[in-house]
Amino acid sequence: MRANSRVAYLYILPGFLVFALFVLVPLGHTAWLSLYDWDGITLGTWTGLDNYTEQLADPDVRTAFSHSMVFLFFFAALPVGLGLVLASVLSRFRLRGLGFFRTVIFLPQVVTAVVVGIAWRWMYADEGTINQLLSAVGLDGLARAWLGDFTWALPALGLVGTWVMSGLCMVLFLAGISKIDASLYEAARVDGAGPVREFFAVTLPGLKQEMAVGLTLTTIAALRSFDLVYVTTGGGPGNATNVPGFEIYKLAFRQGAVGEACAVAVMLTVLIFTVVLLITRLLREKL
Amino acid sequence: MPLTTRTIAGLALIAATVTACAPGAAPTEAPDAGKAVSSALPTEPVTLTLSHFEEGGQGKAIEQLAAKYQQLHPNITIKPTYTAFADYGKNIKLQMSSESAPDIAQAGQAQTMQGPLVQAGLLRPLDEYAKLYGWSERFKPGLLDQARFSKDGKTFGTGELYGIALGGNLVGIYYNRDKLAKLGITTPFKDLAAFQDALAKAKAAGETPIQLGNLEAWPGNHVLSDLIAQYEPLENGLNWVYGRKGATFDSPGVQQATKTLAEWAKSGYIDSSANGTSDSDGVGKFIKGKGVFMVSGSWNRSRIDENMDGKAGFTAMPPVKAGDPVRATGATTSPFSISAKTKYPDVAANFIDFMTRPENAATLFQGGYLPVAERDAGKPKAGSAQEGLVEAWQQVLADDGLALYLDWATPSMGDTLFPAVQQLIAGKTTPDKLISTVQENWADERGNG
Repeated sequence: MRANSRVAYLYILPGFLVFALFVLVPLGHTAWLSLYDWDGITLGTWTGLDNYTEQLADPDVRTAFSHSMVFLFFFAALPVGLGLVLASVLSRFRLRGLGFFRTVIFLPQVVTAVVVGIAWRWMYADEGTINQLLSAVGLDGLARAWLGDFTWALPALGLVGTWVMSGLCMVLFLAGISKIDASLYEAARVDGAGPVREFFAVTLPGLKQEMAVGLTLTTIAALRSFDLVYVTTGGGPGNATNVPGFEIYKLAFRQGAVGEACAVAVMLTVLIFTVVLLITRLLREKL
Repeated sequence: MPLTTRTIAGLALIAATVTACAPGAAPTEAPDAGKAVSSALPTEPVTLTLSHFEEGGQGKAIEQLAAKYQQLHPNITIKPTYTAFADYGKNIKLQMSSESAPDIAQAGQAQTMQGPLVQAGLLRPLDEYAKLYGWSERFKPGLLDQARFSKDGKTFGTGELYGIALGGNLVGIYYNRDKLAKLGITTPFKDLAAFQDALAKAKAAGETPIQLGNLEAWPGNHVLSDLIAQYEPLENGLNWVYGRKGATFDSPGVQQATKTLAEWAKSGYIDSSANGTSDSDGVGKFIKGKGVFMVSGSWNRSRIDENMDGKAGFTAMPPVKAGDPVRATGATTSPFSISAKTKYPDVAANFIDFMTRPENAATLFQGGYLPVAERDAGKPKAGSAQEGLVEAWQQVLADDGLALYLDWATPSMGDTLFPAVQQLIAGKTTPDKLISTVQENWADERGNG
C-alpha cells in the first residue's frame, strides 16, 4: 500500500517538477517581492505588508477591482446564459448548416485577443461599424465614440468579452447535451413537459459539470483580463476601464513599482482562487 | 490542528530567509572609473552594440552614420539594434543591468528611463568627454541640462551629464491651408487671443476646430502643456518638471491654462470623439480634412507632409502677449548614453561625438531630426509643415523657450496626469481637481510639498 503510493508519487514527479518550476516558484517569488519596496534594479527594502495596505487604500486600485466585477457579468454570467440558450435551441432543431453556425460562433475563441481588440476598437470608433449600423436604422442620436465615453466604455469592452466567450460555452454545452440520455427527454415528453420545462428538468441538471467548467474558464478570463484593455482603451477614458491586470502592468513596467505590482498580483490571484473555489463548491451540490 | 513547534520553526525559518536577502543589486562603480578619457581609438578590432528606438528616417540616419563611421575606422564595428518604443521602455532596465548590456543605449530623459538607470549606477557620466570634445559649445546649455542628473538619480536638470541627443521634438499647431484660406484666417497668430478667435470662427463655420485623437490619453496632455507654456512663467514650469523643492502645479498660470483647455472642450473646439479616437486615427482624420487645426508634436510631421503634400502648415502656439518670446512643449530626442559596463567607453564616446559633428548634421536633418547642433543642416521643402516646424524650432531655441514634458516630473506622473486630462476634456473633472490630483502625486513622489 505504502510502496504503491510511493510509486504513484514517482509517476507525477516529472509533471510536478515542471509545474513547480514554472508556476509555484514564480508565484512564491511574486509573493516574496510583494513584501519589498523595489524599483526593479537597485537594492530593494523590506516593507512587510505596507504594499498591501497602500494598494488597498488606493481608490484607483479599488475601482479596478470593481470593474472586474462588471467583467464577471459580461465575461462569465452572460456567456454561460447565452451558451445554454443557444445550445438547447441548436440541439432541439435539426438545423441545416449546424456545423457552420457552430464554427462561426466559436470563431472568436480562435482569434488572438490582440486582433479581437483592434478589430473592435475600429468598430467602436466614431465612424465605425457600430455607429454606421445605428444610423442605418435611424438611431443617429445614440452614435458616439464608444470607447471614449465614460459611461459606455466599460460595458462596450464587456460585450467584446461576451462575444468571445459565448461560443466556448455553447460548444461546451452542446457536447454536454449530446451526452444526456435521450430516454430522459422522451420520458419528459411523455409526461407532457414543454420545451421550457424540459430545459429545467432535464438539460440543466445534466449540464452541471459542463457549467462548472464553463464558469471556471470564463471567470478566470474575466478577472485576469489585460490584453483587451491594453489594445483598446489603456484603462481610459480617465480610469473608466482600468482592471487589476492592467494596474499591475502600469505599476511594474511603467512606474517601476515592482513591489506594489506584485502585491496587487497576489491579491488578484487570491480573488481568482476564491471565486473559482466557490463555483466548484456550489456546483458540486445538487442544483 | 494546533500550531506545533515544528510549524512555528518552519515559519520562522521562512521569515528569516525572506528578510535576509532583498531583490536587486546595490549600485556598482564603473570598472575603469577614474581612468583618464581619451579621443584616441584602439587599433585592434572592436565591436560596439547600440540600442535605440528611432523609427523610419530617424532610425535610418543612425544606420547610415554607423556605416560611415566604420568606413573611416575599419577596425571598429557599430551594431545598431532597433526595438519598438512600446517595448523599449519596459526592457531597458533589464537590458542595461544584464551581463550583455549594449555599449551605447538611447535612454529617455528624466524619470522615464534615465533616472532609474542613474540610480542603479548603470550609466557612465560623460562630463569628461563633454570637455574633451567641446559638447557644451556645440549644443545650447539648456539642451544638455535635460540629460543631467544628480548622482543619486533623484533630481535632474543639474548634475552630471549622462547623454547626448541627436535632434529635437516640438509640440505646436498643424493647420490645413485650404481651410484657413476659406475661413480667411492667417498665420502666424500674433497672440493666443488671435488663435482663440480662429477657433471660434472655425466652429461657427461648422468645422471641427481642433482635431485630437486622445484614446491613449497622452496626446491631450500636449495641448494642455503647450497652453501652460504660454500662461506659466517658464522658470516655474521647469523647476516643477526638474523636481526642485517648493515648485508647484497649483499656480495662477497653470490654473489659467487648465481652465482654457476645459473651455475649449466645452465650446466644442475639440473633436467630440477625441477620447474615443486613437492618436494615429486622429492624425488620419486631420489628413482627410476633418479639423482645421491639430495640436500635436513633430513626430507626426512626416506622415502629414507625405499625405497632405503642401496642404498642411505648422506654427508655434502663440504667446499670451504679442511679441513675447516663443515657448513650446518640446525637448531633445531621447539622448544616447554609455553603459557603465562597456569595455570601450572611449570608442563609444567617440561615436556619439561623431553622430553630432557638424559634417553629419545634414544626414540627421534628412532623417527628420530637428537640428540641435548646426543651424544650416539643410532646407525643408517650401510650403511643407516641415518648413514651419523648423522655423518654429529655431525660434524656440533662440528664445530659450523649451518647456519640456510634464510627465517627466515623476515615474507615475503620466498615469496620473493623462487620465485626468481625458476627464477634463469630457467635463468629468474640474481644473481645480486636476491640479490638486497632479500636485498630490508630485509631492508624494518627491517627498517634499
